[in-house]
Amino acid sequence: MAYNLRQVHVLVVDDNQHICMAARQILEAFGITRVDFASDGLTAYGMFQRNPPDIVITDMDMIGGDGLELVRLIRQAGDSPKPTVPIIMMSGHTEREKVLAARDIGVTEFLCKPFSVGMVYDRLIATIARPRSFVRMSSYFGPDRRRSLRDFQGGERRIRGAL
Amino acid sequence: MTTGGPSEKPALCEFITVPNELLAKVGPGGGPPDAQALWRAEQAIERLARDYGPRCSKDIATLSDAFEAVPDEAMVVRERLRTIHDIAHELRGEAGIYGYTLIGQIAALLCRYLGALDDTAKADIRVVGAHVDALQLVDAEGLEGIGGAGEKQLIDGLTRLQQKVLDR
Repeated sequence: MAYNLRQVHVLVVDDNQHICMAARQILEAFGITRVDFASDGLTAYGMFQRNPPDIVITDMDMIGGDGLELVRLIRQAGDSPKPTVPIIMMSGHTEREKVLAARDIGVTEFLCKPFSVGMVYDRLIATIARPRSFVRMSSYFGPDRRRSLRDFQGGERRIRGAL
Repeated sequence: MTTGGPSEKPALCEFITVPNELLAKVGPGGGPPDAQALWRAEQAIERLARDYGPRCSKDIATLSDAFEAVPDEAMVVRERLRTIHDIAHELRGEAGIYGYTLIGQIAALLCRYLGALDDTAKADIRVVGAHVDALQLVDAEGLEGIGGAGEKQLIDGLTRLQQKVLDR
């Protein structure tokens, strides 16, 4: 049985209205009934503060407050009402340094443009079915950036009690 | 939200387990994807794609106009090509979504070329022009990018041209 997404509230942020429209059509086809939109990061953060969604899907480059700044505000601002909300960053910038910048500021999932229906579905389901622990460090707050456990031979520096 | 709690030594890294509120909201599931939902979404994108063709042609015409407005010099500072880059960036994103794969690929190559330059570096205007010409050709011929030999040749040619110029 697939998840019932009817009650999920999504905030989509993109300065291209046509991309917003495509995202809306896809999300509504998945059964999501509540999709809000913003065309820049600052407007989006205001909406996020007033009514925190369950998932944020944001573009990376926008005029008037870009996606990376929005993620930073959501994760780190003192007045952020839901700093652990899943954030899916969509971007045509798939260069390694851009993806790493998104990861290092606390993005949950990365969605490459052009996206397909299947890619959007996969990222949405990943945020539901495979939520990631959050990590707080002096220089980072966001989802655990390690996707897999590897054999690590060094000393344990993490707080075991927190696991 | 559970946290690691107090520690005698300053914490280097703290794991936080966040309650899965989303899972509680969507109920039990996790089986195979909802085929009906995926089909509905594909249909919705197909409907939007019908409107995209004319808009795509318009964007390519605007890009071509922006190219014509660039000073007639062999090498142009990247900053002066910003409009071309921005249009190509949007084409790259949208064209691929609506099935205009070849246009999306060429736009992506153009973005890659301009993106590989520093802000103060100069772009070889012939390389930019080759991409603009290719976009116009594909639009005029109605090529969709379904993997034909000619389409592959076009992409390979632009890739080689970029590499040759960037390696200089």
